Amino acid sequence: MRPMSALSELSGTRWTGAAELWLDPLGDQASRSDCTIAVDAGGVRYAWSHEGKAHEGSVTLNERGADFQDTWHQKEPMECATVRGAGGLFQVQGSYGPEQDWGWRIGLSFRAPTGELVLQMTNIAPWGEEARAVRMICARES
Amino acid sequence: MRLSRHLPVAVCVAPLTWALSACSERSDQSGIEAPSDSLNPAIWIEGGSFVAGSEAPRERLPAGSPYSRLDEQSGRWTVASFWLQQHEVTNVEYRRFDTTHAFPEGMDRRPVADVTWREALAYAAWIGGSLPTEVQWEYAARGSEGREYPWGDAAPTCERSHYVECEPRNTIEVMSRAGDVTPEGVHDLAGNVREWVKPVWFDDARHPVNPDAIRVKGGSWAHLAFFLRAAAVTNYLGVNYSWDNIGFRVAWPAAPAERR
Repeated sequence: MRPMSALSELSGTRWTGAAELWLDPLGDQASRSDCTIAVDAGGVRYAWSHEGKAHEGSVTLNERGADFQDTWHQKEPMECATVRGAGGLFQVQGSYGPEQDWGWRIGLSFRAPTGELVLQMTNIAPWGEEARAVRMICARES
Repeated sequence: MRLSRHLPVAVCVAPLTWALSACSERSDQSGIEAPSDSLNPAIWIEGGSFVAGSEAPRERLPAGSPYSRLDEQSGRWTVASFWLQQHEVTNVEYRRFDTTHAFPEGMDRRPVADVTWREALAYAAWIGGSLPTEVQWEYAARGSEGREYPWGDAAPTCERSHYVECEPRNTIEVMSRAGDVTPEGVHDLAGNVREWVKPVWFDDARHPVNPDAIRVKGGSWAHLAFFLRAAAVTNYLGVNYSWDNIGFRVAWPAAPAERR
């Protein structure tokens, strides 16, 4: 199923839950905040906070993949390509950094058994190591 | 992922666990009572010595890699015989232990992922084993002959193993890549999901486990071919780390290796 088709079933829904952000090298110390995710057929918009300051971001799907923007992670829009053959509602990947050599993978999935929506972001080092960066787990509000 | 229960550790777990079909069976090779789980048989790994780690030729390191060598545990090790599960622990196996473990339909035989090191260790104890040590894991993958990959020295392909260049970009059923197997019959050490291991000093009171520095071995559906090398070094991760490309398998018994 194409990402936009998959999302259309959830279009117009709003979700609330908890966000985790990992900044430490071991990926063990989560910074937690409340978060919301709003879904429409064209992508997701979300809000979260870090150290008391509100932030927001969006993943806007397009024919190539998606544009990603976040007031804390990525102020300039990042072009992401669709990750083919991935599970979930969508998975896209882009690159950033001074030489566009770091990767950032974003996945949205629906956990059917629990009815939760999960937005997950993975940081990818130029040498291929991966590290968890962000996870938002939300329950449907409307 | 919450653990629903913690049962006493026991070698013979059949009375406690309906899905473990037999308590034990005797090995002709060792005389050691072998663990048995109908969903994930244990493979006998004959003890021996091998050289762990290796210097990585610079040109083979991923671009930008901070690594200068492939494994900090480089050196000759003598490893006692042990048992190692045939494949990574699957979703349906793990759900016997954590009844709240949910996964999409059709993913019974995919490796359980997104479990922490502590959760993996608890599962291993629950079926009477432990996690393999870093050295045991590498020995199982390399053998005494020092294979570069579990199957030998040939470079990875998507027919052999499952890594970032292969589709789907997700986990696949265990034992789906027939080439990712050791001569002893241990599958998927190279690809599919990375695997939690115990530090080699885990059982040594002089070097208690550093709770902030656990490593994983092997590659995954999300990793470059470089990480499929049996000796490849990995990030140190926290014991509460979990993500969608890390799983585990169980070993019995876990006799500490000796550095020679």
